[in-house]
Amino acid sequence: MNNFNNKIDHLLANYSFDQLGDQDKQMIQEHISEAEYEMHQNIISAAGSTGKQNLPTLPPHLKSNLTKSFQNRIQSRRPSLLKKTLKAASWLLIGGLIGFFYSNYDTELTDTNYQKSSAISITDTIYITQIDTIIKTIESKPKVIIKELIKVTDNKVPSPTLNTPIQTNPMASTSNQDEASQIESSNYFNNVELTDLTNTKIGITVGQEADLMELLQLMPSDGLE
Amino acid sequence: MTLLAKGSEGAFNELYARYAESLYHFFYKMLYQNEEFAADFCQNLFMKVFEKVDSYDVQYKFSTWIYTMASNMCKNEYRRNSRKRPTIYLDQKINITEPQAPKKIDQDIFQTHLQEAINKLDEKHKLCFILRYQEGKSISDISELLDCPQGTVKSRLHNTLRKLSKELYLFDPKKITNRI
Repeated sequence: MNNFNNKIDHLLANYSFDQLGDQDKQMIQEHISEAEYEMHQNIISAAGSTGKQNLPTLPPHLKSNLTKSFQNRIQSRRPSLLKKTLKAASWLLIGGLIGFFYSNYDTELTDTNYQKSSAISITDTIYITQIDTIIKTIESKPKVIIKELIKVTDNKVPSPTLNTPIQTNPMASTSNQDEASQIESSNYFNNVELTDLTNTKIGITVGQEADLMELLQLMPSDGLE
Repeated sequence: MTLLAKGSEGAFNELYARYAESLYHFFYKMLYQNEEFAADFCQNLFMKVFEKVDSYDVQYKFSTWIYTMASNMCKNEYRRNSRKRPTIYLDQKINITEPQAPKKIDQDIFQTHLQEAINKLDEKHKLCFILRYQEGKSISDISELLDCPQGTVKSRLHNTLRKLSKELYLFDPKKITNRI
């Protein structure tokens, strides 16, 4: 509350409205009326005197109770002489034990090492099996097999003396055109080397030739070996 | 406090002499004008002081520290027994058997009704009012020990005064005297 400032509080506690100066009166009347001021002052003074009057006296047992509890608390905080002595003795004992242990530390250590070396050592072998898969890719140049089907016809040029031509090939024709072609083909075959003609047979397809088929079947299809 | 922490009985006696009575009266005013309550609370408060003596910060005022603990104890008590407040028979305290001047009687009646009105106040307003006008604490001290801004303390005090003025308007001794 803004209208209840420290100054009003101070004036209320110390001065009646009549005792106030004009400025203070004006300032107070901006916030509360004269009647309110006087009423507030009455309340404050009455509260102060009520706060001092009719108050009971401090019970005498209160101090004795508090003194006892204070002494108990202090005693519980202060350790007794026996406790102190016991504490000191225990610390001395602990210190002595630690000193004794450190003075005999080296010899004890060598003894323990000797005991360790003479003891039966238990060893165990551990095998670790590690399985791994290696994939090796071998690349090679492809082998190209050229299968060449050579059809060889026994082209015998009929002698002009014979009336009937000998037909070795059923496909052979008797016309003049056929004759011309036969002549051409005979010329062609004459140019073929003999080594190329070793596996050829006249008038038989490759599928019908068992040996040749066997050879072809043995050949890997992918060209890798 | 340092001496108290070390276990000095002299320090304890000094502390008791300075604060015991005012704190006992504070508890008496705050806790239903019950003497037993006030004595128990005062004892508990000193026990707390013994327990927390190490946690006291020398930077702060000791009176603020101890009154903070006391007001917290009152708050806790109000919360615990908000529905079990003992009945206060205020009229027993008016001593009208002795011959008194009419003005004194008016003053007594006014004070009795004032006390009754103070008791009716809620915990926060009552605490502020008692600390300010009965225990004589400053507004800054109250704000520190109640852990609230000074503006809040002023506002509470102003509201309390207005409320009490309304309730006690008819019992104003000046008005009664004027009427007679």
